[in-house]
Order: sequence, then structure tokens, then C-alpha cells
Amino acid sequence: MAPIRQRRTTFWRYNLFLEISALLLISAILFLTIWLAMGELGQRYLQLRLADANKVDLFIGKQLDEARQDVERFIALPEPSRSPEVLRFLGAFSDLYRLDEKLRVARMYQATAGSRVFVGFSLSGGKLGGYLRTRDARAAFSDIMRGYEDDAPSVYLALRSAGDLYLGRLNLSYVQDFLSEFSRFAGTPLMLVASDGFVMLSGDADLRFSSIDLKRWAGAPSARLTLHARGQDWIPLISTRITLGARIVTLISTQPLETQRGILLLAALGFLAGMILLVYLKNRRMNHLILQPIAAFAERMRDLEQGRPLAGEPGSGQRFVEIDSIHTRFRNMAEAIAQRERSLRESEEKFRLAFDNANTGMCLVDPQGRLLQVNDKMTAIFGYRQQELEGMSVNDLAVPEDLGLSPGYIDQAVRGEGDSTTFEKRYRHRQGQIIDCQIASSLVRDAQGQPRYFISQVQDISERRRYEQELQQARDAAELANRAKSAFLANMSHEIRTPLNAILGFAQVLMRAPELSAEHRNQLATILRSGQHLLALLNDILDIAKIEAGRLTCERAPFDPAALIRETEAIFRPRAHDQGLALSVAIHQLPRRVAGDALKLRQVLINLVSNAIKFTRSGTVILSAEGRGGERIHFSVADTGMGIAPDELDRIFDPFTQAESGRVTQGGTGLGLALSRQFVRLMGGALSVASVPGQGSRFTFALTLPPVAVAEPAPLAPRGRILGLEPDQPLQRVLVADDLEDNRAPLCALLNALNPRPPVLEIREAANGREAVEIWKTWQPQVIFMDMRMPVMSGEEATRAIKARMRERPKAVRSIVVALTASAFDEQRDHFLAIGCDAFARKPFEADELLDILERHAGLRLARDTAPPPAPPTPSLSPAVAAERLAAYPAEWRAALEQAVELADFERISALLEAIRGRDPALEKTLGHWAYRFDLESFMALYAGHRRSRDA
Amino acid sequence: MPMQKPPLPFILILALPLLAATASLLWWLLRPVPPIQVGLITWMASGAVVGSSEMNAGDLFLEEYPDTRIRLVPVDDEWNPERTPRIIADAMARGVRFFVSTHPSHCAVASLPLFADGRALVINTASTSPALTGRDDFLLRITPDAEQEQRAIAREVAGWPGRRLLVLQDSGILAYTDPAFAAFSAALATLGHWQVVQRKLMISAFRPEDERALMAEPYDALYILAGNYQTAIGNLAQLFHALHPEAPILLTPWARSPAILDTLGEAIGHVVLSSQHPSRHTDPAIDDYFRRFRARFGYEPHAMTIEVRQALELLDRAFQQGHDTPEAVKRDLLAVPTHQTSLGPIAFDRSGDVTGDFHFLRDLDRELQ
Repeated sequence: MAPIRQRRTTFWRYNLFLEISALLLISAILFLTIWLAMGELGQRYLQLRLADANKVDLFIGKQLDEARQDVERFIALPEPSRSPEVLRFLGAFSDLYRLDEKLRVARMYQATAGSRVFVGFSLSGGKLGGYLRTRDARAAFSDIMRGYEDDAPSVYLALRSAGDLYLGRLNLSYVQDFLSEFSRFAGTPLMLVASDGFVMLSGDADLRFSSIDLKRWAGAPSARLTLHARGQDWIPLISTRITLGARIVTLISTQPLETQRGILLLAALGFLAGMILLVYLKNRRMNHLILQPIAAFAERMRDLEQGRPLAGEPGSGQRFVEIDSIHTRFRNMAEAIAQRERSLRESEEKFRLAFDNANTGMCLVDPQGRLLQVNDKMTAIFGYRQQELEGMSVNDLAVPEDLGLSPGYIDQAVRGEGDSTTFEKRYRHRQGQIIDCQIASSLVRDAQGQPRYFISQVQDISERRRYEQELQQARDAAELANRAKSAFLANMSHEIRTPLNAILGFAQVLMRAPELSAEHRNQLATILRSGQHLLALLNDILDIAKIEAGRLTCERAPFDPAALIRETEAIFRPRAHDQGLALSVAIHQLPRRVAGDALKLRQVLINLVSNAIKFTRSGTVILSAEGRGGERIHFSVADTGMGIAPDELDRIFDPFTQAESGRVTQGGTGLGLALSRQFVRLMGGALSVASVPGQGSRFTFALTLPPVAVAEPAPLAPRGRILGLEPDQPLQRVLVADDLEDNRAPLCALLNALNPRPPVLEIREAANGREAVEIWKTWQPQVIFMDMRMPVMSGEEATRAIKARMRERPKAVRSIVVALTASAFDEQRDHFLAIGCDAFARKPFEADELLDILERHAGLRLARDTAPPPAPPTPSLSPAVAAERLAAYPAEWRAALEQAVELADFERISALLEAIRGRDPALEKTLGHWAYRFDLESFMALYAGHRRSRDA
Repeated sequence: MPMQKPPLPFILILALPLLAATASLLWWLLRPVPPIQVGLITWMASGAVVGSSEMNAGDLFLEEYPDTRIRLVPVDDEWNPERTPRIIADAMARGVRFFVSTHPSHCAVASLPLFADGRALVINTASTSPALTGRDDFLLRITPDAEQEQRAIAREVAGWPGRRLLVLQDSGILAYTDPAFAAFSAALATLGHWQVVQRKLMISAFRPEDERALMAEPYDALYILAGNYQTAIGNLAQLFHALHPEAPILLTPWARSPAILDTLGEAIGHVVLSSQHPSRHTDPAIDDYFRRFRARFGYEPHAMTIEVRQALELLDRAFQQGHDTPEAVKRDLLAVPTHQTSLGPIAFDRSGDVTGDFHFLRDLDRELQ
């Protein structure tokens, strides 16, 4: 849409236009008001003068009545008495006639001589004849007319008396006198006009009107409808028909109205002249006091605009605050502009210096990609002279294959979709070689937001690009090695876990054999414990490897940090007590619950406290946790032990590295601190140590553990100890697919050991995935324990195939696939579940874990001890007695319990206690009580003797 | 060589005079025609229908000819010959160049010098004095002069039976009645048997007692040689009629006024009215004119309004043809042999006089209807 062009004018002209318009409007209103007022006043004045006609009419009527009485009296006189003297005495009738039947004068009585009427004169013609012929009994005067006697204005009255018809002629000379007097008194001439318009009597003899055009003037009187006589205009006011059949015409001189109008117009003109003078003076003053200063400001602004030095600054003698304020603001603005110009020049100088002396190429590029300005570095980068570069297009320099890289940015910038960008592009040197450049470009817009040019920084990154390529190659090699290491670890994990699976599996099977002797059971327990230790060692090594491979993840779940600290302290309190150490806990301002990885934190704290106790012969070990506001919680473990030599401080966190004191006194794998440091780092903290040899050490770290809302944990449904599979259940077909007989055998043995009589499980085996699929087609097992790593067809492929066939055959059995793997990596669990596996179990398997899977997924009922959970037990056995009676339990179970105690995993402890329910109620009651109270100290005391003998 | 566009100021300089000339021409062609003042010389306040009737006749003309250029200006000389020249001169000083006069002969004779040199032109409707006849001046007369008139009357009277004719000559207007009586008596002497008894009297001051004795003498007819539409003519006729009920009474054309006819009483049946115009009952144009006049103003006009109307129509015609100077108008009026007006033809002779037939109206009651 095209902008609307507005006509501009000066304020002076516009103001003058407004004022003239206002004056014109005022004038129009004023004159209209005067015109209307004059019209109204004139009308009222004219109406008032019409009343004069009524007065005249009243007068004439009264006179006629008196005249009638006079003529009646005269007629009543006897003939001899009817002398001219009597007639003159009686009234205004100058002539009285007795008429014969032909309306001829039979006898005449005259008050004065000179009449042209004589005895025998016929009055039958004209108006009078008509009057006499139409007169009724009631006497009425004729209309005014010119008398036959002398042409004078007259009225006649016909009366009958004694059978004779008398006609009296009334000379209206006295009415003429009255009109003259009245006109003189009223100041307005009155005329008596006959119905045919002839002027019969005039109150002003000088007004020479013989007739009035009654039709023309009969309308509403107006100052515009005038008669001209005696050198002036008259407004005729014509009355209604009065007594004599005449009309009274009042002539109103227009002179008073014109005088009045003239005065009002003069006043209006005077008012307008005054207004014009006022406007002139006001504009003159406004011009002097406002417009001229503004014009002067405009002149100075023009000087400012054109960069000329400002003329002599006039003094601030302005009359008005506003103008003075403009003056002041202008002065300040001018100073500010001057300052900005100086700053701008300095800035431009700086920019020019920075531009010219920049260590990188600098250039200005117009929106069409043409180089406007370049610095010396640009010439160095591209090998062109400055004059050659300026004017070239950036496309002239670009490698043809890279032409498409930057135009998109230019278009986007021009469209306003981003004013800055950084991109890399290849250009060609004047000598032909290719230059890798990094371009940082920003779009500069003008005041209207339109693109002006790009300012670009060009950096030759050819060398860096070569380094990056080399670095990338090295990184690729390292990643390849890392992947090889991960593959090795996976393979090693698989290869180690596979025999361990057989060892631990069969050990668990054998431990369930009731016919075993105590010696064999102890030997089996040793095998089981050794296998588990080996498994723990393997897990530690795998953890280290996973950390290095970046494949260890951190969980995030709510937990009670204070409880965690107390549990840790409880774990080690017996041991500290046994060593004569004081183990104390300092907790300060900890949130009730926080979100974090409680298992890793527990593992770290247990490791640190364990080390502290291990390397402290006397004194104290202090475990502290302190919240200092916010989400950070500071943990520390301090001891008064032997300390660490300064030169060893840097190495103690390295894997498989121990301080000298550790190697001498305690032994171990040297993985604890390395794992702890990595765990802390994984949780977002940094584990550090401060130590003075001979005085002690202090390990500290801080973690971000955001508080979470406190929620009461849902009470766990009481579950009885698993005794085995319940009998009398529908037969379930279970397929065990594993390529290794050593893996299939212990699992099948375990399942057979759990199988009641009559059996509820029918078990078959498959040596690879394809075999498993074929068996599934014909046998339709309800549960498949599928090893994921098999030859011919992997467990993953077999699972996909079985699941696909299940979708194709809606009536087929919905087989539960339990993925079995010896992999060390947790992420495989999600992967296997994603491809369709229903459950996941890691080798070596735990019997209870497999049974739990069968219960949850296959619907198999497990035989459990259904006795209600015991009330919080009252301690009835001491730890020493409990330890003795605990020996009667399977070593596997005891090993698992000891491991759970060492990890302070009370959930696991409770589950293990459930597994032995009913064998030794007193022992179970004691251990259950400890577990209920989280009495880790008593549990630790349970194994104190065992550890001492083991350590010894 | 390429044509160069002329500069704008040059175009403006050329265009502005052209534009001004075109505008002037258009204004000249379309400008409103200026009115022409025509003075109506009459007696404004005569106290009778005279004066008012002429003015009303003028008003009626203006209303019936809305496009006329004539603007009527009343010029009141009160039919006073001492006043007439001054009043006309005043009007001429105010720019009036054309006049229509209704005054009697003595006023016209007094004003002759004013119309001698073409400064103004007057169409006279009522002055029959032979002193005005045959003059090559700017006084045009649309009524025959007194000699023609009186010869016609004499011819009429000559046909009547009887021997003694009483002629009452108005001494108030001798400029008319003297030459008229001379012409009448001369003509009558040659034509017939009548013994003329002449009696001069001031008609307006007529007193029955003064004339009764004269009139009581035996006469066979009465000729009232008077004009100016004086109503006393009626009184005089009645007195004669009362004394000689069977004798005819002859009136001049200047008594053709309703006011006089109304005053005749029973004498109206014996009155013969001479007139330049036929009876309204034989001339529909005149009848229609009188009807329009009465409808407009409410009364019957006297006969001179016919001449006033004719005079205005003559002037209007000349003005419409673009003549607006006395000389041009006179030339135009005299150039046409016979002018057809709405109330009858007018044929000027070379000196601006007219000749015409006279009508003798008898059934005068009908003239009043």
C-alpha cells in the first residue's frame, strides 16, 4: 500500500487558516443571528402596528353608530324642522336624500352647498345603486366610495322611515382628520383603502398613492416587500376588511428597521474588526514569541544536520516555558549529538583499526554478495590485491561445489530470519589451492530494518582442518579400540558367567537336595560363596569397564538420605566397635527425601567407611552429611588413621592402585576408591581427599540431590517364603533354549527340583534359536527361557520369529519369553524387552528370581509359607546364638544373607528371611525383629566372628 | 531533430489570455440583458381611477410579459403642465430614456422640448392636441388627434335629428377642448343643420344650480366636450337628461370610464360614447383584457389602459429586437407600417402620429357588465 502523501503547510498558515475559518464561521453565525433576530423583531413590530388598524376600525365604527343615530333623529323630525342647520348640528351627514322608488332624489337636505347632486338625480348606477337595491331592513352602511356629490370619499346609509327611503351621505372628512392625527401620533401613515384598492383616505397627504395592489401586498408583511414613496421604502400592512368594506393599510417605514439593522451590522462589523485586529495582534505576538524561535531552532537544526557549527547560541530569553524547554533540550541534544559524533568517529576509527589490523580476514559484503571492503588479512588469505577483491563476488572466490552453502544464509538474513551465522566453506586461492575458511557473518541493517551489508570475519582454518582430520582419525581409532574393549568385556563377561552359571546353578540345585550331608553342604556353600565372590569381583571389574566405556548410568529415585547415613553407620558400628574405634555420624539440615541414586551413594559411603575403619587402628571415624541450603549435600568420611603419603594421594583413585599402607596392611583389589570416585563423578560430584600421614584422612564430596515431596511408601503385601511350585496346577510346557549344555542342565535341574508330583512343568530343551522356533511350532510351550546369544539363530531372532508367528496365529499359545543373558551391560535389558521378551534374567541365575518370573508371567502358583507375618519380634536370641543356629541353614542362603547385610539391603534381607520361614521360629523371629528395626548392627554382629575367622 | 516540449510557463502565458478571452466572450453572450427603464407619466393620486389604472395596466403587462426588458418607473406629473417638464427632466436625469404618457394635451405640449432632440422618446396615449400633430420629434402618439376625433364626432352628430345642440366645453383643459371645439364646429357646420350653443365651464367644479337655467333651454342634443375621465360628466349628463329626457348626449372618447358610466343614472340610455376602440362586446380582445384586469385588480379600468398596454407592447417589441436608444426605437417603430398589438393594430405615419376609425357606443349598460 502506497503511503499517503500529506500536504504540508506552515503552522502559521494553518493557524491563520483555522482562525479565518473560525472568524468566517463566527461571522456567519453572527450575521445569521442578526438576520433571524431582525426578521423576528420586524415581524413582531409589524404585528404590533397591525393593532393600529383595529383602533381606527373601532373609531370609525363608533362614529358610524353615532352618525346612524343622528340621521334617525333627523328623519324623525317634521319636515319643517329639517333645515341645513339642524342637519349640521346633528352630525357628520352632509347630505340626506329622500328617494323615490326609482332611486331618484325626490327631496334633498344639505348641510353645505356645492353638491353636484340635484333633485331628480338618479342614484341607480354604480356601487351605490347596487347598495340601495340589495339593502335589507336592517340599516347598514355602504362600502366607502367616492361620493356623487363631490368625488370625496363617502359612505352612505339608507334608512326607511314612514314608508320613505332616506339615504344619508356621510362625508368622511372627519375620518380623514382622524387618520391624519393618528398617523402623526403613531408615526406611521394609515390609509383607508377601498376593496378595489383605491386609496380613499390617507393619513399622510404627501404620500401620493392612488391605489394599493391588495393582491400583491396581501401576504405576510416583510421588509423585502416594500413600496417606494417620498424617497423611502414602506412596508404595507394590510388589515382585514373593516366596517366600511375597506381595509386599513398601515405604511411602516423601513427606516427604523434599516437603522436598527445598520446598527446591528455596524456592531457586528465592529466586533469582527475587533476580532480580526485581535487575531492579527495575537498572530503577530505568536509569530514573534513562538514561531520565530521555532524557525530559529529549525535553522540551527539544519546547521546541525548539515554538520555546520552552530551559530552563536542565543540567550535563553524565551518568554514561554515550553519554548525555553525546547531551547534547553535542543542545546542538550546538540551537545549529545556532538558527543555521539565524536564517539562515532572514535568508534569508526577503532573499527577501522580493528578491521584493518585484525588477525583474521575482515570484509563487508553487500546483500548481493559483492565484497565492499576487505582488510589486509583478506588479501593475504586469498592472494588478491585489495583493489581486486573489492568488487568481487564471494561466489567468485568460492569453490564451485560449495556455492550453495552461504546463499541460503544470505536469503534468510535478508528475510529477517537471523542476522548472524557461522559456517565453514571452501574457497580458492588466487594460486588455485583450496582454502578452508570459517566465516562468521553478521547482517547490518539500516534504521528502517533493511539489510545494508554483512560484516564477515574470515578465518583460514586449513591447518586446523588438517589437525581435526588427524584428530578424528585418532578418535575413530580410539573408539574402535574402545568398541573392541567393550566387545572383549562382553565376551569375557559371557565367557566367565557361563561357567559361573553352571557352578552356581548346580550349587543351588544341590543345596536344595535334602540328602546332602553337612560336610557336603559346607563344601557346596564354599563353592557357592566362591562363585559369588568371583561374580562380585567380576561385577566390580565390569563396573570399571562400563564406567570407562561410558555405559554406566545413574538411577534417580526418592530416598531418605539421613536413613542412608544411619544404615551405613549401623553396618560398620560392630566392626568399629570390635576394633575399638568410635564411629560417629554427623547429620545436619538434610531434607527428608531427595531424588538420587541411593544404591551408588550407599556403595560409595560403605566403601569409604570400610576403608576408614580398615586403615584406622585407634581413634574415631566420622561419617557426616550436611545440607547447606539449596540442593547440594556435602558428605565426608574422616578418620584418625595412618593417613596417606602426599605422593600417593594422586594415585589412590586409580584402579588397581593402592597406597603403600594398604598394600602392606590390608590387601584388596584396589578398585574401591576408583569405583567410588567414578560413582561420585557419575552422580555429579567430585570425590577428594585430604590426608596427613600419621594423623588421618578425610574424603569429601558433594552431590546435587534435589528434595522431593515426602510420600509414605506403600506397605508391601506380605509374601510368604517360596517353598516350590504348588501341585495340581495345569501343566505348563517350559522350553529351555541355550546352545550350551552346561547352561541348560542346571536350569533344567533347578526346574525339575521345583517340580512337584504330579508335575506341573514339562520341560524340553533347544540348542539354538531355530530349534526353539521349530519346537514352538509343534509343542507350543507356555514359557521359554531363551539365551540371547546362540549360534545358528540367536535368541533375539528366535524371539522375533516366535512373536511374529504368535501375531499371525491368534489361537496359538501366548508364550512367555524370558531372556537369559550373560551380558554385562544393563542397556541390553531394555533392548530385549523391546524386541518382545517378557522378562529378563541375568546369568548366573538365581532360583528365586526365576520362580518369581514364573509366578508373575506364566501364572504358576508358588507354594509359599502362608502364615501371617510375625509381629515385631522380641529379641530372644543373641547375635552369637543366632550365628550358631544360622549355621543350620543352607550356605547359599546364608551367603546371600551376608551379602545383603554387607550391602545393608533390608529388602533383600527380608526376602531371604521369608525363604526360611518355618524351620527355626526363634531364629526367624530374632532376625525378623532386627530387619524390622533395620538393626544392621545386630546383623553385622552375626557375621563378626565369621569375618574374623575369614580375615584370619 | 527531436521536438522539444515547450516549458510550462510558456504554455500558461499563451493559455491565460485565450482563457480570459473565451470567458469574456461567454460572459458577453450569456450575460443577463439589462432592463430598460420606462417612465409611466400619469397622475398617481388623482383621486379617481385615472393614474391607478395606468399603473395597474403597466403592472399587468409586466406580469404577462415576464421576459420583458421594461422596468416601469412611475413619473407623477399630476397632469399639471407646470410640473410636467420638470418631472420628466428629473426622470431623464435618472437615466429614463423612454416614456409612456397618459397626461392630457396641455401637459404634452409643455413637455415637447424634452422630446425634440432624441434624448428621450415618449409614446403618448391621451394627448390629442393638434399642436402635437405632424412634428418630427420623439413624441409618438398612438391616438388620433383632436381634429380627427372631432370630425368623426361631427359626422356622427350630423346624422342625428334636431336643431339645437348644446356643447359644454371643459375650460379646465382648453388645450384639448379649444381645438377640438373648433374642429367639431367647423365640421358640423359643413355637414349639417345643427345650431351649436357653446358653453364653457369647469367640469370638475360643476354646480347644477349654475347650469340648470342654461340647460333648461330647449336643446335637441348635448355634447359634453370634456375629457380626463371626470365623473362630473355623469352628473352633468343626468342634469341634462332630467331636463330633456329624450335628447341624446354625446361624450368624447375620454369619458370611457366606468366611474362616469356609473354616474349617468337613467341618462345612460341616451348617452352616445365616442371611442377609438370598439365595444368590448364586439371586440373579444378588449373584453378579455378588461376581464383580466378586473380579475387581477378588482375594478374596471378606463379605456386609456388600452393605449397604455399597446404602448408598452410596442416598446417591448423594439427592445426585444435589440433597440435600446430612443432614436433606434423610433426608427424601428416608424419603419413598420402596422404594428399588431394584442388590443388592435397601430399604424404610425412618418411623424409618429396615427389615424383611426371612431366607434360610437350606445348600449353602455353592457359596457359595465
